[in-house]
Amino acid sequence: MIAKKKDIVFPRISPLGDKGLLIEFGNHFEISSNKKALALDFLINNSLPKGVQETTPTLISLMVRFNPLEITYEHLKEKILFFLEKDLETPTHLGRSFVIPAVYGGDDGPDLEEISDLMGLRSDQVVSSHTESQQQVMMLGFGAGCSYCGLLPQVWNIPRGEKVKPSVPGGSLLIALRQTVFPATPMPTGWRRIGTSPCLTFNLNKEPKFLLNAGDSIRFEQVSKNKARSISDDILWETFEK
Amino acid sequence: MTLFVKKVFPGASIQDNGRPGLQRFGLTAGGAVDTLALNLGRSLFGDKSNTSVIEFSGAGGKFIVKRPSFFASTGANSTIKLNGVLKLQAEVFSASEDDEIEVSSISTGFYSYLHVAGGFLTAVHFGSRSGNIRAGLGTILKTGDYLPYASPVNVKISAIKMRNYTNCNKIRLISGPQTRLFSKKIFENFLKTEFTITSSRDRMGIRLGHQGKKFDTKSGLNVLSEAIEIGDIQIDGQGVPTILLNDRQPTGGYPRIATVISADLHKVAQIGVNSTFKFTLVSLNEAIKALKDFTDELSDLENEVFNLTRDPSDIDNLLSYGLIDGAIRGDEYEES
Repeated sequence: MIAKKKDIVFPRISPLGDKGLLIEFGNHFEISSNKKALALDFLINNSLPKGVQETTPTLISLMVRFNPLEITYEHLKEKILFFLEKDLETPTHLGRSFVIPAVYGGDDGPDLEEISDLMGLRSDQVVSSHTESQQQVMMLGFGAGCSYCGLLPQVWNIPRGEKVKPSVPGGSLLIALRQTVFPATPMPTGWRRIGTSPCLTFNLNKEPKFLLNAGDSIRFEQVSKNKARSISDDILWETFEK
Repeated sequence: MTLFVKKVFPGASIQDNGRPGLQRFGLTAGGAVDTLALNLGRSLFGDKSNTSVIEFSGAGGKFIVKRPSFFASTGANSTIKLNGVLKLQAEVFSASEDDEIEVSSISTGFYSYLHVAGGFLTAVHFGSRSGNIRAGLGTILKTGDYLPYASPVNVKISAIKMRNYTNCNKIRLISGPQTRLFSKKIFENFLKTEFTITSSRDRMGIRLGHQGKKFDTKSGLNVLSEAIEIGDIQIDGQGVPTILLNDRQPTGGYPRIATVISADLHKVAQIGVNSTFKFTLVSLNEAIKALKDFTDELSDLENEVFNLTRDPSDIDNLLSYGLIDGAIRGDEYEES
């Protein structure tokens, strides 16, 4: 029974385990699907149905975790359908905005040259294009506080690298598929690294401990290696209203 | 005061109910893998709060008690000794300063727990003491550590019936949003297959082994990164299934063929390495019914606990105990 794409109507709601409900807005990535997932996430959290425990937005879907002994799957599905009747195209809330300093190339961005070749640009043009792009935090995942940001212009549509790096530091700027992955802790990755920020977005001594949330807006700003050394890794917490 | 970790094997950590609610920030809830064993131990101490325990994975450790308190062991069958003397599991025992507690030979199961009255008082992150290696949260045990714990209050020497982990050869699952990505034939074959628990297992997941065909995913089947639920069974690029557990990645791009029901999570996690089992497909309603039964079992645990030291006035059939067996008349020596 090979699934036929035309059989599936989006948004599609289905059980994910016995305590989860998944709303999918498509079966391939489109920025509009991400915006809908984030809008639904906001609506649900703004008027949290009883028994709902948490929501996890990802690129084109939203997972809702609930206690099935407090609210049934069918009942929750009805409530979700009610939210889905609302306009999810127009943003109902604005995320916060951050400008994040980063060092590009050299030891901090060992794959900048390779990416420049793939994009057919000089490395300074690659850096300019990256720093000029306003990016949205589309989701957090893979590891604690690791954000998936985008979309970068079409010229950034390059595949993941072929080799997996066993570990890159938190603060790395990792590139593939028009996205910047910005981890907050060390992690293995197959993505190419063009730079590193001296700032981390996960800090146990700060409130909130996770600085970025899906829906926030970020832009990177190039700084020199020397300048980066003088920047404290928790400086981003000073740049927004709590 | 504290429990000194004299020797511990990798894979031991402090665990409690974990930190739910943070998956949107890339952090899965973690917490004790065997919630039944966790609550069995808590019920022994009459404890209804989120007390933490030591969780052992497949191997135990040696500890020196630095302040008198009460301890108990639950979970997978293991040998527990106090100063070399065997203790029963699921039974409270007292230990004095400088006593040595040894947990060893974990068999019939995988996760063993050591409880202390009042719980361990190690570092709290996001309201939980659960150790999470990848995120660097809570406490992962190391030889030489000192683990603080509360002063014991009102502890009774009590016991509860141990659970049997030997007969978990059927694990129930329900289909999920990505089941449709596999052909009907592959899914049916999956349900017929006898799986083996491999030694590639930890708190993140259990890699399964099996004879026969791989569960081929059609080409280009990698899905977009999506939230992963506990119990999800992902099929990787080599066609190998992995059951994802408490410390799993929050999101992932491998397709998931089905999800183990909540009521069977502790059962599948307690199957020993090289043991075999099969999956059974159930409906969502059956999964919820099983969850309800499991929740009831957890809340009834406190009624199962019995005291080992009893007040004679509480014993209604006192006369049937043969309390004077072995007594002597007093004149035996005179006769001989």
